[in-house]
Amino acid sequence: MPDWGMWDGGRQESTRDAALSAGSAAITAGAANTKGAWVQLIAATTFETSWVTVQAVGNSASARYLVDIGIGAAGAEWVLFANVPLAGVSASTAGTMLQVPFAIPAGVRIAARVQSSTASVTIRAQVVLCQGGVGQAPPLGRATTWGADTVDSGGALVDAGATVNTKGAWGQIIASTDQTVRWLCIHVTHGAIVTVSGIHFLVDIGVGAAGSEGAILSNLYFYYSTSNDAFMTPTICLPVNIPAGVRVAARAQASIANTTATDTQVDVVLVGVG
Amino acid sequence: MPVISEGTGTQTATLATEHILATLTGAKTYMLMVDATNMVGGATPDTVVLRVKAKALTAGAEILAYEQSFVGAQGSKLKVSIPIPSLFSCSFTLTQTLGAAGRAYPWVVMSV
Repeated sequence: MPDWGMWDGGRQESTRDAALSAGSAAITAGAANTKGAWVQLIAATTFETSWVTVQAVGNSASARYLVDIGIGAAGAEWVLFANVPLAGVSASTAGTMLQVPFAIPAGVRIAARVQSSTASVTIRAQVVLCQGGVGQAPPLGRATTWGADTVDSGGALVDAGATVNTKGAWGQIIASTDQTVRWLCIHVTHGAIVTVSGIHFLVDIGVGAAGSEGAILSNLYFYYSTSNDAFMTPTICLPVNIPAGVRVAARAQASIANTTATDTQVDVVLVGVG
Repeated sequence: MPVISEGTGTQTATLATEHILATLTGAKTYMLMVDATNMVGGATPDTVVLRVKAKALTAGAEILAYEQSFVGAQGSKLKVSIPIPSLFSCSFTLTQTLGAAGRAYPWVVMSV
């Protein structure tokens, strides 16, 4: 007989722009690779959260996006989740960016801003707030982002290498972690437009000094096709136990070799909470 | 089962300094409670790390057992650790790693 299940549900609210039937008003990027203005998602949360889901939709094909989710009064926002890649950005495709066990107090204003590799493009975003969840475990309280590259709105480059179906070299995501992380969202987007008909990737996340990395998450699957789909990926969120002060790296294997120099390159961004 | 205060006070944090709130050597089960009312957000949001360190044998040094971070103004302002059974030595620490100023944190370590 199995153990008694500890799953449950509780309160939920979703930020939205009801007048537009949209997740939010348009959130506009600044100049290329520069954050735009904050846009309010909700004026005041009604309860303290234990689980937060962020999803968004982009309206510009073949662009990269890094999104900040912040809290605070207008003009005094501070970043809660920094430089989260917007997964699933094709011409009009929504993607889930984050699903994290995280505490946001009641009564706070939530806003979002975005930068993109293309100037002045827009996204719309929604934050789904929940209280209660998996076993009502106490939520975590601090978020960090590793690998984001605000210069090109991408992530840390990891190359699967020239040998098909064989793991390439480890690529550093961060030299030394700034905090303990117990829940990790893995964002892997393609570094460029894929020139082949489609390419499969298996990605490992590891910790350890250069040359001594050990995989803690193995063979996470991502697929990229041509054109806009190069930027469409799922975001995988998993429990981990990564201490502060360790080096984090990633490596990948791909189903085909390069037809251009960048086909086997992916951008990796990790968002952790602890 | 009585609940006993093993140590209490108000720790005003010095940024980036790990303050030892209490080191307890009795064979008991301990819980840390910290009042985070004074934490605020902002451009450099207050960031606090609470740690519990203990050791499995009487020899040797304490090592990290549990760690939890908090950032910005808190919804649930009273932070209560899980119960920590300890035979030999157990320390509770508070570090404010970021913030416009070090804040005051009332705290108590209890045993049951």
